[in-house]
Amino acid sequence: MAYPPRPVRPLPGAPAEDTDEGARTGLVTRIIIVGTIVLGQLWALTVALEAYLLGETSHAWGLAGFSVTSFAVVLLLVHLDPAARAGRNRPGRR
Amino acid sequence: MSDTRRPRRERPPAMSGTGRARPPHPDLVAERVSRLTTDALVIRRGYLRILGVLSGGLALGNLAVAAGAFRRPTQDATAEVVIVDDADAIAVGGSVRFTYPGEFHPALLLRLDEQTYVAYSAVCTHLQCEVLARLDDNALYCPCHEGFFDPATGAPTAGPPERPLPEIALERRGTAIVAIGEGRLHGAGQE
Repeated sequence: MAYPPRPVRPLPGAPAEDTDEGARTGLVTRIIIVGTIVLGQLWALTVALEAYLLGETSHAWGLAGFSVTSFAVVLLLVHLDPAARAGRNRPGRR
Repeated sequence: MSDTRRPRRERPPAMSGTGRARPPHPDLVAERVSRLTTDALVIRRGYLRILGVLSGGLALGNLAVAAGAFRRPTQDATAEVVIVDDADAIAVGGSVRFTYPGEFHPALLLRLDEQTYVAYSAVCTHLQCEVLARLDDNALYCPCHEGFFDPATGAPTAGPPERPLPEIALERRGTAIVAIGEGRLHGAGQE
């Protein structure tokens, strides 16, 4: 009597596999975080302009530093691609 | 060596004698499902890149602001301009329009009382219109958007402006009044 093949499952403690759903959720999460950071940069720009025109140049430089730091975080999030790191790119996926 | 050929295109379902359509090839189904799910991710990655470029632009803009891309007209002015040769010729409550530091930067000299003269840049801090003296109403007035400033301090009192008019430092030389640079910025709490 022939038995059907048993499904292959990961062993307990094995690292979780990447899935399309996971990649999609991660991407949307990064978009939301980056969007929030960009809103913060817009706020910083308006406050910095106001501060500079009032003669408070040190405040303007502080806000510029905040904006540049925010950009560095955004760069990190844009280039942080779990799908690419796992080498799961299929033909046609960029 | 892997086979990179694409699966053959689906042909119109051939009707068998019983009227039942044959199902498409499994490779074709898999390719279409892959394309549909991949396109959604590509679009989302495009959004992320656009936000990244926007973030870089904002960071650059903020650096430009801090480095002085947008300056007050009177900022770092060192020119000395004789506004009037005879200060007493201005009546109390009167004003004189002049330009400082350049010919395209209007300014106002006001005589508030017998001994008090003040001067401000007449470029409105809202949208750069020229401010007019209305000392009868005890106000400096911007006609573009109904902005009002206090003639004694240059601080905004009504309308859309939120920053004070930059004061121009004055010096009395005999009977003449000379503009010698930027004065106090009241809103910044400087003396």
